[in-house]
Amino acid sequence: MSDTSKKEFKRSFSGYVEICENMPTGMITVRGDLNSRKLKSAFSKVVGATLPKERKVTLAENSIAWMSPDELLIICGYDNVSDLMKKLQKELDDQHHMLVNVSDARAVFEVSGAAMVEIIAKLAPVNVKTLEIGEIRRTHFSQVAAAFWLTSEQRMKLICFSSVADYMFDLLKTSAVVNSKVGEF
Amino acid sequence: MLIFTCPYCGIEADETELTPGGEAHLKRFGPGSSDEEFEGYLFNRENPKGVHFERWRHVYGCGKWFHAARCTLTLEVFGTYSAQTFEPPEEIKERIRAKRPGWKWRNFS
Repeated sequence: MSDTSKKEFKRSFSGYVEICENMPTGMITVRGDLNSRKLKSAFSKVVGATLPKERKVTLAENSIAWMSPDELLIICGYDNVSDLMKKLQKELDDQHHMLVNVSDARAVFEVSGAAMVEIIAKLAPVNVKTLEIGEIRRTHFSQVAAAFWLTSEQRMKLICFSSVADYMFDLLKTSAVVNSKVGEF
Repeated sequence: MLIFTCPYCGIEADETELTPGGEAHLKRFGPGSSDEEFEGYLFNRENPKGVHFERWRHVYGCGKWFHAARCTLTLEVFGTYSAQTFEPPEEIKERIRAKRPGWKWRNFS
């Protein structure tokens, strides 16, 4: 891999909103019984965060996103992944679960600006008026699967498969071209 | 546009976020069944103009299968419910009875 330690982001674009693709982030997919006490205690012990409620993202040093009734996504530092996984594996030893390092399979984008929600409305079948800050929404952006959550009223984070990162970047770029604003929001 | 509320994650998902899974509540007839039963299981499907029960998968969301009751004529959705059931919940049947008096679908009415 190229030396990525000095760069802050992979690429960016400035239209009527700002788009940037972040450097790789650590991501671990967790599958298991989210109601089990063992899983809850393992998370508070190892990850240092409580489990998110349905469709929520806990925003801490290591964030945890609710992906489905039996799936979570831990978002952490790229270098912390193997350490976290080892510790979680140890805690959950005798309980049915699945941990997968998906860091290199994902791309992370950030979109910010006053008209940020308009970009979502242009590309995804989502009722943006019902979106809450810290609520994760899995959907598709145009042709590809994606999940996003608002970190503030004018900023959102989006994750998609790294195999479609180029498509996603071009897509966001095209929809954010200056003079293409609809002005609905 | 067809919009279902996924009973597993509570999201109002439109048709493009879902994958259709065909007719709901089919009983499987496998080894040991008669030819007629097997043929019926494989090929005989309802094609109603009106109340219909289907399986859908929230493929771009939580990935879960669920059941949906809707009207094929108006696209009105009567409700969605868990996949782990052999028949529609009573409240959904009641809702359909109120809106489509005298409806019938296979063994349900």
